[in-house]
Amino acid sequence: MSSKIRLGYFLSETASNLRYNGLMTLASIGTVTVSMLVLGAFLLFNLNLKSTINEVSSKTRVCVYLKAGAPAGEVDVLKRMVEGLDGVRKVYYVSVDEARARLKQDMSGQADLGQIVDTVPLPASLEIEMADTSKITSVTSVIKGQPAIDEIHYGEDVVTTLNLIRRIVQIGGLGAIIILCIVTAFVIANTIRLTVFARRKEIRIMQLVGATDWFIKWPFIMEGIFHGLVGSLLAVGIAAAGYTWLANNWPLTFIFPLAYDEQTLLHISIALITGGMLVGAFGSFSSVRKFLRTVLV
Amino acid sequence: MITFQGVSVVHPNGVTALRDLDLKIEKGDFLFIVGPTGSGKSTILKLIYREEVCTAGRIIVAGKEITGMARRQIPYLRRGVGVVFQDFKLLPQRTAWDNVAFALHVIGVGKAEVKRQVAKVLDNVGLLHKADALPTELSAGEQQRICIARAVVNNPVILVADEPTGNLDPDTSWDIVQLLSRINVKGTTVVMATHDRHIVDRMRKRVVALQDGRLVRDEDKGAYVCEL
Ligand SMILES: Nc1ncnc2c1ncn2[C@@H]1O[C@H](COP(=O)(O)OP(=O)(O)OP(=O)(O)O)[C@@H](O)[C@H]1O
Ligand SMILES: [Mg+2]
Repeated sequence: MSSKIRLGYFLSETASNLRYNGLMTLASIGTVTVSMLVLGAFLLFNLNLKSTINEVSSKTRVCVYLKAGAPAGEVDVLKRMVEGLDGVRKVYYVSVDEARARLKQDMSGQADLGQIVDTVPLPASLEIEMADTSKITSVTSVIKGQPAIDEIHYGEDVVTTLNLIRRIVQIGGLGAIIILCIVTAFVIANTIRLTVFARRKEIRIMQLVGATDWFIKWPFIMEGIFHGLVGSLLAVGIAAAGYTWLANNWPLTFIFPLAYDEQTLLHISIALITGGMLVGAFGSFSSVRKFLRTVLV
Repeated sequence: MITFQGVSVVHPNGVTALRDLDLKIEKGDFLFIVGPTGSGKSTILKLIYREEVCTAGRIIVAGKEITGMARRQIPYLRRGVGVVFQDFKLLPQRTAWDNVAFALHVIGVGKAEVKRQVAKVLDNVGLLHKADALPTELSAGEQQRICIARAVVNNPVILVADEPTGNLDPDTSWDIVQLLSRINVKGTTVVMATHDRHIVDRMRKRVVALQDGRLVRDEDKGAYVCEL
């Protein structure tokens, strides 16, 4: 019962199964490629959406205007408290003088306005840079109750809309991927069923001489996994080529560049290959299992 | 070796294949099952290697109750029961040798052992010199010998044969039965369903006759038809 003999047997069975119906094999590999490409596109889109949101968020600062004459010690405590909140990256204190300096710089073209700027009453403020914009409402709601605070301003609409889009894309994409994976497993199951059918006499004899179900199943499952592997490798290749091209030809007029984080791209590739193999394994398993169940008690 | 107790088989379509059958087959027996077509001969054999299940009664094979046997245990039952059919069921793209070796490969026997056993069994059935022939290059009688070789290469305790001579001329049929008889003499229990009157009458072995799924006769050293 050496495992070496078994492995050799499984491999040769898989190889000869592959030869049985080339066209169907191509079809099932192609379906895996298409599904995994869709999955890849989704993951890439999601990646870019996420980096765009991060980009927008880092530019979005929550401005917390302080009441005039709030004691420095109280402001300092408040600043440290906000820094400790979940989703906050950094908090800057903008003094009255600094605010005035900024305003002056903004209006530097209009020299005659300089006088006015000096006389306008400006509040000091805390500027909050968010690490995670989805936490913005919880952060502001905590701050709102503080006594030293006058008003809060931030790009509420943009941030919440982007986060909403991301949520919708995630849910919709996930649903589409699940459906695609089921369809792919189904196509693979059909292909494997043909191989199983072509080899039904052998399977029958195997059953009669006492081969276990698993012994009979393995070569077919390996075949399904192989279809999944080849199909997803193709998908990774196509996606990599396409995405690289896109990244290189990305119109400069767009505000944000394509995300090109190698670590994440590697993870996406691994996810596609694993996904393809899992779908292949599942499709072939269900097919051969069903066949064995219907043939004999 | 094989015990049937009150066994009935009713198919889902309502056809009753066996009715309340009691049968005891001892170790080393050579038993013919005879009866008109549709009387239940094949059903009995299929019950032994559990291709069919009974709807009532108990079946014990090689000391094991197989009535409620779990699916995953069936392969191990079958390793002890060799099966031979009327239509051979050889794999057409494989040589005689490979057809026999296949039966050992798929139950995980090692290469060296497979080689040893296959050579031995092919020699026993007198076809070692045809080891490399494809089934199409063999006569019907030779093909059946290869099937028998495949059925016994694993040294099963029981050999079940469903009309093994159904496609053969009388002389070849007689040779095949002699081969089965030699296997029986070495200790294997042989159960053979047949329509072949001459063979049954010449062999003078135990005969079980069926009619409409009922056992109607069970004779030692019996004949094809009742002689009383
Ligand atoms: N799968 C099945 N479904 C329904 N009825 C069946 C099935 N298999 C067998 N039968 C019926 O059971 C009865 C017994 O069949 P069986 O095959 O045991 O007969 P037999 O004695 O072997 O006949 P033969 O000499 O023609 O081979 C027959 O009436 C047959 O039609
Ligand atoms: Mg029959």
